[in-house]
Amino acid sequence: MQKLIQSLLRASGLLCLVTSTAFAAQVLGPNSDESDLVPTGKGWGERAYPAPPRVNENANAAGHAKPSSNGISYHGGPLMLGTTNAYYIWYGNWSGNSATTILTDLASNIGGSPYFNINTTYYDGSTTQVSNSVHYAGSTTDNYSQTAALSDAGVQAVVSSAITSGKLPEDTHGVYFVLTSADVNETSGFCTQYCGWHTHGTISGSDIKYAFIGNPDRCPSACEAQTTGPNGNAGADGMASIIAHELEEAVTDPDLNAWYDRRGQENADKCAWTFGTTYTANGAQANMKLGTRDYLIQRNWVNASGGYCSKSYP
Amino acid sequence: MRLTRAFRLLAGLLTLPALFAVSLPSLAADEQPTGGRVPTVTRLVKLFLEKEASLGAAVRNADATALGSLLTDDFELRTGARAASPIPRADWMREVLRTRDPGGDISRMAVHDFGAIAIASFTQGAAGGPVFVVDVWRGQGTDWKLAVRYASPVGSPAFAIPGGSASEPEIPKKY
Repeated sequence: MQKLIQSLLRASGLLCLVTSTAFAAQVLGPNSDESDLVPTGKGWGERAYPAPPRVNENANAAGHAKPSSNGISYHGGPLMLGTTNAYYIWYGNWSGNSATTILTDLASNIGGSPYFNINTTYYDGSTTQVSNSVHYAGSTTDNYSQTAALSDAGVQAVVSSAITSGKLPEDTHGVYFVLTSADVNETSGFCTQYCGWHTHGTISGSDIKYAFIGNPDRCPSACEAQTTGPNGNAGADGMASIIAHELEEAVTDPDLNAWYDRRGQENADKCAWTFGTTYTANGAQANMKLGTRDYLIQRNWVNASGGYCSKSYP
Repeated sequence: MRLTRAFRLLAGLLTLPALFAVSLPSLAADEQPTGGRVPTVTRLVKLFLEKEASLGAAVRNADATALGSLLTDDFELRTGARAASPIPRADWMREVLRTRDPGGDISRMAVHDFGAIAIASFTQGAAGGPVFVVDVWRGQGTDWKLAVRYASPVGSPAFAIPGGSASEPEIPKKY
């Protein structure tokens, strides 16, 4: 009887450990300590993975990320410093679509802009700041190698193929954008949960940063701010804002362990679907000029002066 | 003597889970969020998160007028335990306004847009465990009203739903 109870006791202890781990994987809700939160009306952060090892020299004695007074915190991971190279992989059928010039012009002109300068307010553990420098480094095409129903793994395979085949260089200072035509879906939640995403993976032994950018023509109500665009192409104009969003998050949180707030929101997340003051261009709304083109690009979070959404910095 | 020792061991067995249950909320509160999967939500997810927040606020404030303005006249709740016996609008309102409990945090929202109908699904914390909620919103002019809510416990991933086995691995990413 006593041995049976002891066995049950040990099993109960194990069960409690498993339960506590599972609980730690649940949603992080708001609590009384929300000094670095800004209400956006968005969803809550979620801890889906175990906490990464704490390497932040700025961490407090308890080993947690040092809370910032600007509404976003640094968690010790690397940033993309110096010039970021942008690569495009045109996935699907882009024949005759003006998006190929509209979005190439975006990548060619976003670096050095007052808008991208917002990212210079972010820095790593050595206090080295992000540079206001983006270089459009080239593109390639992919004719549905992973079918018209892309999975998350399929997106990585597209990037991997472009690199291992030599169509694009292997570049740890690059962000590879998989831009999909309107007949391509991403099955993990494009149009229902997200409009794009970014992550990183090991490709040919290197830590490669890449992003999926869906085509809003597939779901205008979900992924377009307006049904027209300042460049005459609603889908491309919608993708421009999504590209900007994923680019600045890839630069400030490339390995998903650098800059984000206590709900897990990265810089662009905190300002998603906000555009500030706009003007009319070609019968559509725009809010900034990059190069010779007008675009409607969401604002980004400035990591200074208490934190705020803006179209430019300073 | 043996009975007393056995009783002590049994008492420990019964109290250990309770001790852990009390400590869990503070464990979660002390931990900082990791690089989890946080959506840059679609425009519709943002919209319906705000609608759900309005619902929650009306319930917390016991504001029957505000709550009623968010519901269609024929709103009903259907739960897994009462699939054939919906809870009608008046009964549901009376109960949530009495408890002033709108449920816990909302996460993992997806919104399917079918024109005049939008279907928002999400998980929500609750006293008895997380709940999977499917809200059917009906467009009325420029506004949306909640027409039907389906809700059931989240349950275990091991629970066999026909065709429900995930075949593609999800990779860590941020939206």
